[in-house]
Amino acid sequence: MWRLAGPGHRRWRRDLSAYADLKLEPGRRAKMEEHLSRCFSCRQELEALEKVVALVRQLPQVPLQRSFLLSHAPAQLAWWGARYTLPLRYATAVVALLLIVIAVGDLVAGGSFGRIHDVTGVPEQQRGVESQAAPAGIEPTLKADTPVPPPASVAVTEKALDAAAREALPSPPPGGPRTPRGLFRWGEWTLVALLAALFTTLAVHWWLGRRARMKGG
Amino acid sequence: MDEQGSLVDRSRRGDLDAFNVLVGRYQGQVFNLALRMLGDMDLASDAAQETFISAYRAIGGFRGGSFRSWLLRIAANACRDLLRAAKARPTLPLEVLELEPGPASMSREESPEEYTLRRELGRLIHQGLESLSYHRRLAVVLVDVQGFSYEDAASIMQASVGTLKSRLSRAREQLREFFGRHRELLPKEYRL
Repeated sequence: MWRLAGPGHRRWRRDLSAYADLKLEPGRRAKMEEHLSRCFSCRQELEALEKVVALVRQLPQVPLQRSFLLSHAPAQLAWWGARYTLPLRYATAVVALLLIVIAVGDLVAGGSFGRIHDVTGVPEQQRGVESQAAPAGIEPTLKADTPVPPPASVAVTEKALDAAAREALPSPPPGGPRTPRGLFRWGEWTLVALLAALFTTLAVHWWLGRRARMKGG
Repeated sequence: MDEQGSLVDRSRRGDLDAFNVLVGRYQGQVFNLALRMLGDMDLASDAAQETFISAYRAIGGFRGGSFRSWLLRIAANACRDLLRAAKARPTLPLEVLELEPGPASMSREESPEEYTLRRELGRLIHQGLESLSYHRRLAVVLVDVQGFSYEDAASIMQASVGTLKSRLSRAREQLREFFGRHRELLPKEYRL
């Protein structure tokens, strides 16, 4: 069994096969020849390689036992059939991947689709309690958790508070809020549109293919 | 337009006779490629038939270039599909059943003993090929068995010449190790 002298011969060994077939670039061939003139183990390796190639070339061309001529014409794919099948497969794979990403993102974000966002960030119950305490001089006679419709002056104050709170918040940039939930909502709608387009294309592709097969008989 | 281009063009328009002229030209190469890849006459026939049916159906997608490379690419893919199916449902063994026809292929100049030795050698070589992965086997079959140039073989494999060189080098190294383990079965002039 031949063994090369060490790891340094690995790069020479990689080129031996191409060298045996005279397929090395001239510069590398010259270096290989120079190396072979000094390295006995690589010369032995080359000799072994040439024997392997000669051995495999012993396999003859086997004569045909039968003819493969077609007796009747199989249905031909339309010119777009071979051209678009592969892109359609890639498009399906991409959309499927997007679906997974969006679904996972939706789960992670807590399912944002359809939920009403509270712009002020203040829970509703707490707003009701605060408005009871806001007017000066009025002692709270009711418990905090008892739902009581606020008096008109309190309602005005509440509206003013909400308006002030909204003004204080940065306005959402055009095109939708840049929260993760918002992004995923946009992604979901985009995905629905892509899926619809893809299914339409697939349906047309299938229908046209069916027509072609029916014509081919 | 040359003659082959004209045949391809007519085949695209549904002319089966034109396509069969192309079949007649390349069926030997296609069958032998399939035989060396699959190691079984029946499987190779199935692969070859499937190749020509697929080629006829898809000829509308042929965009020019080497028709032979395109056809052999389809053949290589058909072989790969059959190999996968055979591994998934191992009803047919992958070992060599019969690589050549029977005693009728014996040449008049050789003795029965020489004929037997030649067939045994062929079987051993094929076992060596079978020990290779699909891509390495294809590289060896195309370059060493079928005699394609590096460029044509790379085109058939849809790989770069560099990739082909790498696969071929590793395949030959693997074969060297295989034949080294069975050196007693090799003729004297080929013993490693």
